[in-house]
Amino acid sequence: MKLLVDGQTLATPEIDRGIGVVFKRLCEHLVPAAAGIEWYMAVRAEHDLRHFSPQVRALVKPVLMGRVLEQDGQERQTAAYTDLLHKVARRHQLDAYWSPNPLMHHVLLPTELSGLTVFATIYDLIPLVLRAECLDAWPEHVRREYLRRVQRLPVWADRLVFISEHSRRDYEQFDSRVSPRADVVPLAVDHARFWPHTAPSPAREPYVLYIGGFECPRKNMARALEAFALLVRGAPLEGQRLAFRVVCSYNARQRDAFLQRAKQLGVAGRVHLTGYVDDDTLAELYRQAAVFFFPSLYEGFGLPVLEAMACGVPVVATRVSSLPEVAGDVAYYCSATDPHDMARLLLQALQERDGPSSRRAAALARARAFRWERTAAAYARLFTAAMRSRLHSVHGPKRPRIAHVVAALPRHLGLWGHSAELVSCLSGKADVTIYLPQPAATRSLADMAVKPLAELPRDLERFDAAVYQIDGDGPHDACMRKLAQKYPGIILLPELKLSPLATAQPHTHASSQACSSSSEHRSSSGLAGRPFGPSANDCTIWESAWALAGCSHAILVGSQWARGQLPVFDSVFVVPHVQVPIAPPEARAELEFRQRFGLRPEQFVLGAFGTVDGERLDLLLRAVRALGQQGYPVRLLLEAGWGDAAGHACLADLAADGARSVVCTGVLDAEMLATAISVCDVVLHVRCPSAGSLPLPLAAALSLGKACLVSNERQFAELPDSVCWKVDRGASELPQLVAYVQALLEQPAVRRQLAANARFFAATYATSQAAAERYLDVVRLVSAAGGCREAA
Amino acid sequence: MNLPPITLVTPWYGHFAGGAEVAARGFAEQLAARGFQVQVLTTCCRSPFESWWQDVLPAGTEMVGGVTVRRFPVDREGERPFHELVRRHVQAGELTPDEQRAYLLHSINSRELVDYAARRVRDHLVICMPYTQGLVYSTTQALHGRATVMPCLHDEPMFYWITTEEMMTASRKYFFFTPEEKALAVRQFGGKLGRRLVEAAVVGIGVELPFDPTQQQDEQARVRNRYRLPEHYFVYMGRKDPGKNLRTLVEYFRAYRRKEPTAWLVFVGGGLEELVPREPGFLDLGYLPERDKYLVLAQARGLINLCRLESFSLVIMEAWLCGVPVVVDAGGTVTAAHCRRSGGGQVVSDSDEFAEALDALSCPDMRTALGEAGARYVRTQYAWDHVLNRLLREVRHA
Repeated sequence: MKLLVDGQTLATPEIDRGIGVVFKRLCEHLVPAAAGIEWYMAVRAEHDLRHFSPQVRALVKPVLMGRVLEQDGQERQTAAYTDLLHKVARRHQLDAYWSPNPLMHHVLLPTELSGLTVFATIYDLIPLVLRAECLDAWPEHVRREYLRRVQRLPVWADRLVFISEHSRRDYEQFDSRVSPRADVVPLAVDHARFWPHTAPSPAREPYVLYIGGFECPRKNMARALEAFALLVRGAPLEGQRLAFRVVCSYNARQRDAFLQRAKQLGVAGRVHLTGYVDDDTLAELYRQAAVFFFPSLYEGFGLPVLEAMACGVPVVATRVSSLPEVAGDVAYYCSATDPHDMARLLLQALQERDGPSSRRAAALARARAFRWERTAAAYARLFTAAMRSRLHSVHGPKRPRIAHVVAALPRHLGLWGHSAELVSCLSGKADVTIYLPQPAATRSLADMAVKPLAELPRDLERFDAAVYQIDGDGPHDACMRKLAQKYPGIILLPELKLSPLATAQPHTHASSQACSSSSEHRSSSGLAGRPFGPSANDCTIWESAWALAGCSHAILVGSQWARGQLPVFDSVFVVPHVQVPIAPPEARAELEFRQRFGLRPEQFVLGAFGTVDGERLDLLLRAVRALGQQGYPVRLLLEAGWGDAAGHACLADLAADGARSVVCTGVLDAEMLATAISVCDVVLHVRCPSAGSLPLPLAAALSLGKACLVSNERQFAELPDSVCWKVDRGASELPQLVAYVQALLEQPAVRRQLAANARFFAATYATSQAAAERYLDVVRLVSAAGGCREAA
Repeated sequence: MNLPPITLVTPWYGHFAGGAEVAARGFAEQLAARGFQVQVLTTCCRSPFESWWQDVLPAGTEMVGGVTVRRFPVDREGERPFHELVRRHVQAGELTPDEQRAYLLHSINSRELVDYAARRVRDHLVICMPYTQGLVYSTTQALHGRATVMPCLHDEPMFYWITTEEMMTASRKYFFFTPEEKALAVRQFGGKLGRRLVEAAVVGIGVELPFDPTQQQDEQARVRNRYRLPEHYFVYMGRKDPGKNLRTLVEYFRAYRRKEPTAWLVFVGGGLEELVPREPGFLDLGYLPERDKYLVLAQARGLINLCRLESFSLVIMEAWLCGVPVVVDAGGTVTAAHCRRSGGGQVVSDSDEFAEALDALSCPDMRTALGEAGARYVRTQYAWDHVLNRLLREVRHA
């Protein structure tokens, strides 16, 4: 799926506040996690992307609006922008367009986008709701354009995403056409910045914190100041040292008027205007506040209330618009128009703040539910579901019939684990028949029919698509390749290196034998190869094999990186990493495992799973040695085998040294592997990844919620930075690895958070269900394009 | 927040302002101010500069800064064997493990206090500090794994004594002041104590000034006149002691003055007056009232602290809160690390680098930038709210 995001907000003054911050947060959580979506972003200049992290920048393809902005006037610019989007959509076969900020006047809104699923995020209708203060005060052309957009959005966008139920209801009252296309995805708070003091100091000068805005009457500044004065006068005990800190930007005239009013009310010396403050300062202001006061007349969401709750400060707010959705029953609600009532609630909050902390605990718990990763996941679901729904309505059958051709019956082991999970998930959504080259191996799998490959040509016309899963380079695969060329379909390449598009440089005896058929083919054809990696562990795509890819309707690969290795083919789709659901082992199994391998509870266990070569093993051993020298009680748990002679040599050295810091388990079955991963404090996957999906042990470690360190390479680099820490290869690799492990061992809270992020990612984005859906999307596309038939 | 009562055990409390004692007092008063039940168990000895085997203060309970303080008589019989062990240590260079135990047991100690801690504070979180004193060693042994230590470790001979290992082994949890102190502990005891040591928290010490001296222009002028402060000066603040690397400081500064004759070095604090040269360029103000101390500091071009054995360095933090950058020695593990993390100072290895650092601090823009970076570091890491966040998080998980 290809989604074009309108990135004009990046070039507006809003980028560091309000909508801009929300947009950046969303993209940071959404783009790296939603691997099944290809991201494009329309920006006024490429350097607008500087507002994003390097990981997001690497995944987003910029669509430059340069020419558009050369036009005179907004009308012409809008027409040019619309034209540009149509061209880009056609060229890149885009599926959808997302406008995160469609009502802002500075942002061009394309007129129509036929062929694309259009999403728009709506924050509020404040200018309409508070018409006298806002809309009526605007210049005529701005007002006209705003109203035009408000009227147009319910038909222009396929899905309207509101940030609160209240803003949705507001829009529905204005235009009932909104209802069937409305979704609500609440905003969230950055808990890394807005967090509470465990026991804030009561000794400092207490203050009421208020976030206002002189340009914004709905912030209710006059009544807020009056309420503060009433509080001070009416409660001499609590108000004795109380100050009123007002966060908002101001000019001299506004400041003087406000302080003059404060003087009239008898609180001049207590009122402090902070001016603009950055988020870190704001967070500290929240944490130190006695009470947060937010008597707003209207909000689209009420982010300051959520930030204050996350900082553990009592909130006095009005029960208007969306604020009850945010604050639930943990705020002190006051009248929006009666300063006496406001003062009463402020006093109550002040008096109760040092009492039983149940309200504070409830507020903190409620705030923790509003997390950006959840908001982003909701957007990802929304985007995917809407684009898929459109695909279903336009293309292909609801329940496709698929011939899934594979060299061996999918089973839960290594690479095959992915395959088995994928096929299992497909069975609920499609009619799948599995074709195997060896009839002797034919037996049932779940409720799917399994048939000999020889019968495929005869059966083909019954299917919407044939999918050839190419996992190896053996004789059966050769047979499959012939069929795939004769009866083109979709080729599924979980692992690029093992596919006929590529030939591995032999690094084991077994893989040498496995590669022999393609080696013979290579020598007989005399065709040159196309290398895509610098080391001996990399592989080469052979031009002779491109014919297969060229005649196929589509290619499915496991990562964006793999997709990037096949640039000459148009129809290459990424199937998100497939997780194999592994049940967490019982505590008893972990205990037995620890006893069996002599792992004591006071020691830290670092796990390295899967085949490693000598160089990688040497790195791991040096890291463990360095940690040991610094006093860290670590054991390295090595599972599986070593990929080369150097690895064997390392192992021999270890045995000779009687290395007590290393435990070699040998190859473990799936159940034992899960147990081994569970006993680890940190899982290390520092090696050059293979050429496709995530390795099963890493996928399992993420699913089981383990803190993982991976090499910053290929598909590992595509994992969100919040999900695992990445070690750069090269001269700094060892010190970086050691420093990361130290940090994770020393800070259990960091380790737990990284593990929680991994578990959330695995359960939300990297599921077999998501992969199966993606697989079916491609099947539907292919089916619509003609399905199964013999090549001409 | 529901927490068990907290008991702090420390040899001197209320009348002496050494690093560990200031930290103990800070923790006790800050916790009490936040409504936690806190008491301090200490001795009747007033300060480490008086006899450790004689009671000066009355035994019993008193309130100090809002904290209940229980004083217990010191053990009187250890003086002679202690001095004998000190003599043997100086002569032989090292002591046997048994002598090391005896050394600590005969240093400042109080059987009554230890008994009280063992019998009467069973449901308390007991935090002992510092590791160098017999009272702390005895308490950790008597509590059989119930005590937590804030050891204030230094890389010094005593750190490698058997008593330190025994004290650490007998402790339930550990709180450290700096990452460097923790790294030292992990390097020495990580293999033995394992996870509970490696996962121990670095809580730091809270540092906050009673007022903002940078905003007191009139008072700054008063202090400048009263103490006849020179126009262009740097400050050394703390006890005048050879162990603070003062000889090097004086040597470096003399060399600098040959190049910059208008520069002065102002000493604030007690100790050995003879360490301050009686020549132009050096001014010893001795002890100052707290308010004046900060006002003098706030007008300096920089604070210089070349001591290599600081376990935390409160004075560096205070300088930063005054907006004043610092100069520290590269061999001072803790102070140099503070500078690296904060960007609030210059780290020097020799006389030339020292001169370059002082030149840099003489540039107003540089001085302001470094001072602000240091102040930000202290406010975000070592405000009491932040320090207690780290402490209480650990206590909650205990």
